[in-house]
Amino acid sequence: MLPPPWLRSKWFAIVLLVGFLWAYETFDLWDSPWWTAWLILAYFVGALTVDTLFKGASFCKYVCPIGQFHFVQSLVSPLEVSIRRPDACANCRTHDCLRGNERARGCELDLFLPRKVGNLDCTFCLDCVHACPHDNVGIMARVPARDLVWDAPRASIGRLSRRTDVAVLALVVVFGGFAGAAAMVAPVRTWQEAVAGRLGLASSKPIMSVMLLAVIVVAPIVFAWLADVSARAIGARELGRRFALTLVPVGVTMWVAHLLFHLLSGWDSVLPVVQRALVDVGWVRSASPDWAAAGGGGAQLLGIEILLLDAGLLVSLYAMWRTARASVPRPITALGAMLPWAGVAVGLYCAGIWTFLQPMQMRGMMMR
Amino acid sequence: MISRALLTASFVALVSMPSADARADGGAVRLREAAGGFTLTLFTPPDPIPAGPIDVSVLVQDRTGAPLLDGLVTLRLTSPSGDTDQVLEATATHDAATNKLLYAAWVDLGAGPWDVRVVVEHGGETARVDVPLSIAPATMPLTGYWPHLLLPLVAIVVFVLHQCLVESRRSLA
Repeated sequence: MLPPPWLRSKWFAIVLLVGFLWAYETFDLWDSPWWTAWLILAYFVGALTVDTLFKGASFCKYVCPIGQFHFVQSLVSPLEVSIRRPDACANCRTHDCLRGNERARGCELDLFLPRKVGNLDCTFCLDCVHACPHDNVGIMARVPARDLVWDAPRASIGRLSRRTDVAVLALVVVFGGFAGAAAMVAPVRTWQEAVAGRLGLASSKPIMSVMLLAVIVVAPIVFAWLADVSARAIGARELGRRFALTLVPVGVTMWVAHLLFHLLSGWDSVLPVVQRALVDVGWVRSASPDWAAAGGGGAQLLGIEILLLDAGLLVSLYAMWRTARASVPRPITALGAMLPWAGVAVGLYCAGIWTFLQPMQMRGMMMR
Repeated sequence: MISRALLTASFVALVSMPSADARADGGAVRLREAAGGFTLTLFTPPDPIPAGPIDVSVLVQDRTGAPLLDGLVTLRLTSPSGDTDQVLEATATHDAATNKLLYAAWVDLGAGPWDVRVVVEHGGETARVDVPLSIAPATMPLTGYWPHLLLPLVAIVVFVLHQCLVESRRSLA
């Protein structure tokens, strides 16, 4: 059966995503194998339940917070599953890419390839590629971030400029990237402890909760409202939602820089981890893992992080300009329309640079 | 082909711009050593450690590798400074640690060589280890990165000029 109407949007997934970002830092889920195991179990139970009860890939499309996270990131992807020749689709009467055939299932997410634009809601399962009898579907190169400035009607999604839920989802992912990184640096943790101490709280968890919810929930709502007001003022109501999406590049590069930091700074722990694994499985009788070899960090890491954020800022600003120019004929009016969002992008950029310069809190992960 | 080579060369040049070392994820292991009935592991920020407040964290494990959480961990940091040594003492606690298996303390260290003595007391048993630390002079972290930060500004100025030229040509036409 079809999922209930309240589930057929991104709102439920947004709540789950916010919940995960909040719980991860507030309850130090990274420090708890117990909670990690329960989360994974709950994830599988949730996926099986939703996909057993409802037709289509309802879990991927409406529930999975990880999926939504990746859908937003994929808006700036250089690759896309799309058709090769429009004329082949124009003559097709079977629509196997959607309905499926004996070779493969059709698209469970209801994306009809001739009208599919961008990667939103596409899980890259490639069922459509295998199902197409004309060999007309494949992974194609495309201009990254084109999705952000092109407001074409999309199969199963419609126009992005009319999807408030997608705009809010994008804002949550973008602001979540900055909040998540800031929550891991020592000065922020120290500040939270100090505020908790001043308020006489036994734990800093309430302060962390307030901080995260302020950045991930309140800030996107406030900016979305301001965007709506300013867009109405110039007679282009749908611009607000489209400008929200243009922040995705700066958010994506923050996530990339953040995760790259963890990957590269932990890279040299491979050696002691392998040493320990060999001892644990009994292949090496006795050896003390050289833990001191780990945790050195990459010498050029900060430079790479800043350059990534530079690129994200520039692509965001360019997408804002293109979006504004497409809707507003006069350049000066277009500039005025994009200026508040450009301010948000620059503010996020500065917050990102500040975060990169702070020492990461001492987690001692490699000894677990 | 040439433009791709130029693009690659530009990226390599940008990445190689002067920069200071980055900080690692949660610090580096300075020492892991059996002392008395314990195994002690000391974490500090990775090299180079700039002068200023730093997090010194200690993991205390028993012989089986289980973390001991009810010990008393004190840090004594000594630096030769003129005729007399500069001495700092701090108690490392779980409250100050992010990872609650660790005992941590924030200590404000000046530039120069320091000796860190970690003393662990648990169940009537005491163990100590000594670790040398080298603290680098404090630097403005952004000093080495001004070209990276200037890049967006330059790109924006060039784009604005380009758009102005396009608009003026359009209005002339």
